[in-house]
Amino acid sequence: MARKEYTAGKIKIESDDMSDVTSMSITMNGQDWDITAIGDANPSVEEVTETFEISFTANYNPTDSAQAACRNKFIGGSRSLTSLAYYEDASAYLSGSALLTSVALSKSVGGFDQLTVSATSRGTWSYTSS
Amino acid sequence: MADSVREQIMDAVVTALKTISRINGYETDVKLVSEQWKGYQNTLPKDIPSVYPIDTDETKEPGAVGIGAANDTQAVLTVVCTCIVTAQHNATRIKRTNLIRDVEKALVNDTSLLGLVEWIEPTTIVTDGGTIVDISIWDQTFELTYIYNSTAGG
Repeated sequence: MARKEYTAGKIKIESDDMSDVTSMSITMNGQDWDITAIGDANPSVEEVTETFEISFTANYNPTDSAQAACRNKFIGGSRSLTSLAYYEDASAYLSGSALLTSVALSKSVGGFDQLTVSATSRGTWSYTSS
Repeated sequence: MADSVREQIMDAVVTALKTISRINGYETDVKLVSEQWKGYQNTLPKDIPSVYPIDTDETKEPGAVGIGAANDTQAVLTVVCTCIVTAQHNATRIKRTNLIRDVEKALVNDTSLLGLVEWIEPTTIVTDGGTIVDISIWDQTFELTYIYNSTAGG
């Protein structure tokens, strides 16, 4: 398998590729249920759900449709995304519906304004290979 | 093929510096703006005050995930303006300080230049320390940050 580099990859918000992305990450989390009975010597754990947490940072570009969508979802009152795709290279990606959990816009001297977005998966996600 | 961004930046720098005159709201009437450094010994008195801009060192680094993505390269170009005014006793300091301010004002506020770069940062002013007889000379340095798609080559 080929290794992956920052030279390929992108974030796609619904139908739009996001421009100026400077960092991105995806974390796969499992939620478990502890069903250990009182008095049992060893723990007993039942798996419950799997979720994907996605976060990315971009140089803020208010004319970019994907960046604007993240901001406007908060203003519009619904943070739901019908599709969020995390491309690990030019054509392989993890995707599914998602819920935006935070959008931060920061400004500092000597650099671009930064848009930082976090989202969590909703329902089933899938992986499309190259 | 269009000129490189660096070439366009220097065109805008030279044009902006050539506007420095009292009739345009500055304190100095610059007599010569040239990219051909002659040495202060060979700069004619009639051409002083003079400004010699030059594009010097440049740093480049990846600016976004994905080569070929929008704005995937970020560059910082260092432009140095070597300025000369004549020394006339007590008038030297005001000539020098006026031209320092004029050069900064011309570059930082030029709309053509700001259309090419993200921002301009005045960084250093290095003078001759008063060691050269009859003239005052200094290097005034600016760092200009711009972004571009690597597919276009900058």
